[in-house]
Amino acid sequence: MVTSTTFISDILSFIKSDLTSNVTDPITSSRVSDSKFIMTSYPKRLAVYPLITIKLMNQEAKRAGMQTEAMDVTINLEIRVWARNQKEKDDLANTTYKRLRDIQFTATTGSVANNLHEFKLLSATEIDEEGDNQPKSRVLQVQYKFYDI
Amino acid sequence: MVSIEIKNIEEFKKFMKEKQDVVIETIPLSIKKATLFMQNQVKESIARGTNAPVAVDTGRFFNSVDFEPTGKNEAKVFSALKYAKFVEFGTSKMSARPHFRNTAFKEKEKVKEEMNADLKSAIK
Repeated sequence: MVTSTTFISDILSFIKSDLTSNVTDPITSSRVSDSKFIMTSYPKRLAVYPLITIKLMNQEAKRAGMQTEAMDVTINLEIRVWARNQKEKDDLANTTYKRLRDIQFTATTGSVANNLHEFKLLSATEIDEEGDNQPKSRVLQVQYKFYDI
Repeated sequence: MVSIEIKNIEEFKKFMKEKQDVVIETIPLSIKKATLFMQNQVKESIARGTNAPVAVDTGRFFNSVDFEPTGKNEAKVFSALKYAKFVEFGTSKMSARPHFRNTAFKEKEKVKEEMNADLKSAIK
């Protein structure tokens, strides 16, 4: 559940744990133990592709009304899929988007139930590094609203 | 019985048409002003690191920041350089320096306020 006092870590943790449980790691059987499939920033640890990174890009807050301390917070996240080839990149990006779309209204474990409202996919930008063995990546910029009451 | 009488309807229509024309003239000018402002802010960020770490070496990226209209009452600030997206989003070997995105996040409200002020002063 995303709460007011720890909401940045709550958001990252919510997205990370949901994707970890529901997006299949294509190399799950061969992934080395000190690498992770989903991380909350660009890996400081060993990077073994494919992987997904989640980062908070920006947050904006506006007062929810007159004479109230409640704030309407807009959160922009960058979810980046790093893959070994185009197909893997597109499959993972699509699965990630579809998962976030599908869990919006799921009871208890969904994003709205965890206080993340009005899911939007703002863009999906392709950032392919040049060269055959270089990682291919797609940056999904997603937005949520958090009503900080 | 209640009745409402509207007088000088033709004059009112003329007044509203004049205001509408003023708004139609003002919007493109205001968008141009906002676009130039955003271009300058992105450049300042690249050169001075106001919104992301400085990204000037030869000045090629800095000088590539340009703008163009993209439709009716729309414009974009962009860099046509091939490596601009790598600077903005980072790569597996280099951290991102999101000058465009951070500038947009930071200045969005200011641009809205300026455009609102332009429209308000135009229809006064």
